[in-house]
Amino acid sequence: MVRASVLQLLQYVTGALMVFLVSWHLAMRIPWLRGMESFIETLDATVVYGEITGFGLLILILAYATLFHGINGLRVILLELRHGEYWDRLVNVLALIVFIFFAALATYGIVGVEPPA
Amino acid sequence: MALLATRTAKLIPPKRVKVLVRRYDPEKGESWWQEYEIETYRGMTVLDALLKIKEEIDHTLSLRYSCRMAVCGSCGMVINGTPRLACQTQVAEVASEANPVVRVEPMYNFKVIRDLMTDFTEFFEKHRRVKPYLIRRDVEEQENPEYEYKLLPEEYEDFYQYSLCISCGLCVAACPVFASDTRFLGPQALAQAYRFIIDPRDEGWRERLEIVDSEDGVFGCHLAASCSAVCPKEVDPGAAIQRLRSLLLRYRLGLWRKSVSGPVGPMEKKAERMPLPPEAETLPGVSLEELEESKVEIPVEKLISG
Amino acid sequence: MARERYTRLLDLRPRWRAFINPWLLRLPNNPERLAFILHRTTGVIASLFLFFHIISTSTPARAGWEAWREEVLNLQGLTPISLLFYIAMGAILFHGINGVRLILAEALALGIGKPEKPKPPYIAPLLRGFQRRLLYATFALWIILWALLGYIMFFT
Repeated sequence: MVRASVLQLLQYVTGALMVFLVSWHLAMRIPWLRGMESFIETLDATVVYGEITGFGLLILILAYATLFHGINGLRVILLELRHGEYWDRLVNVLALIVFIFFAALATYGIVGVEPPA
Repeated sequence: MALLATRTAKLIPPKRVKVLVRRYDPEKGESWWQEYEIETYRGMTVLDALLKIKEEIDHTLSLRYSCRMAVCGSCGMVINGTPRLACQTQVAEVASEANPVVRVEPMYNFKVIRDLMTDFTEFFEKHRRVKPYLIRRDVEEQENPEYEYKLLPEEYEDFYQYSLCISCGLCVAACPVFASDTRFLGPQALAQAYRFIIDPRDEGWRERLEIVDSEDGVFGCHLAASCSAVCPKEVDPGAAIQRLRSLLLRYRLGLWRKSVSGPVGPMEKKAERMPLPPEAETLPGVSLEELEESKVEIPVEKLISG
Repeated sequence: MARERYTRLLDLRPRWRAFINPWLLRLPNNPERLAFILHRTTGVIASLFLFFHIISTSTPARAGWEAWREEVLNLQGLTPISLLFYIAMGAILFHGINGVRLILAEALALGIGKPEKPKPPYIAPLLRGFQRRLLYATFALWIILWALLGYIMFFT
């Protein structure tokens, strides 16, 4: 078992990291910062592909940090809502499975992308 | 909570108030709202009102109270939606001419035994779990002490506020986390854990940190600060929990160590009197040797007449 | 004997309602509780959005760029999807700004006042600390940034 203090410390560290990374992630969608006209233009295939190839690692770190922070948060709420040995174990195992699944999907979304036609 | 605001003394309650009490009968397992109407007087507290109802209208109304002056912490209730001590809340504070209603409920987050009485077994169990007493490795020295433990005034100020807790349970009644998570230690127990962990005379801090290091311990708190808002003694459990959590995280990272103080040794013995310089002279008719040997006595008649 | 008499106890705990209902108790001078409720609900919204977001942004790798272009069209103008997206953005903004305050207060014990000897008018140091001003700033910044985001999403 992992100590609660370790998980909570990670929760704070990922939280602090996300304050910067999510700000950057949202700033990428502000059209004026990128010399564009509208929000939709920043979602254009070539622009997005440039981001993925240019900042792939940063986006992946963001995805992992956010997934940990979000799933741990949900886990804490679920553990507070109900009690019981089986429920606790179910929530913990489910949290791990969901984390692995979405982390894999996020990795594939960055690594497996091909240039737009 | 600004319960003893100066303006309270000047408030005049409405002539007659409606007291709505949420009652519970354990024999039948029924809960219902009962309405009473009473006459008030200036300075009447909610506890006075409830006792007046018990004396004059309905003898079956059950409640727990003792000191009537916010010291014992027995009469915690939810009055008009706010957890408060009934003895410390004036009717004039919660009822007005426009809305002369006082709604009294037992405290939330506690199990109700009957009417306004709540079961504190779990509460005290949790308090006991954080070992709220000084732990020393040298038990023999603690049980039969020769000297007192060292405690500087500034160290004392670090935990004095948290030692004022009267265990009334209002913080637990207000806590939104405790509302669903009964395993959560609760603001009162955690504040007491912090009070003993930073006490320089205590050596059991490692044990206590292990106890509170859990999702149901100090990490169950999410800073809703309702505990600090309702505390009748300004104990500020919210701030204590945040300090405890920060301290625990620093301890786990190896950034915090406690310095424990030991017993103060014996006081220094009185030094020998400095001899008078040879040129010094005593007053005529006074002998220094006699003065040293004679006991200090103040004549009684002098005390009476003076 | 004593235990037998008290076997049937009434349970008035509000349970999960305490997480979403700010009017459960009337607590004066306690906007932190509202922030707690908002932090919880926005956290749940943000987590659910995150799962959806990872699925939708992996579209180029999974189904190619054509599918991506079709998906992006949903965000153009005022559509049900873009409205949900906007709500999720508001949740993330509040959670992030309030999170800074929480990290300062919870992990570093900053802005929560100093222990003191109680004196009138008996307001706890935590409720007078710097975190209270940060909380008001959180609400203000949240509204401003969310409105700005709405302008970017719907009017550009």
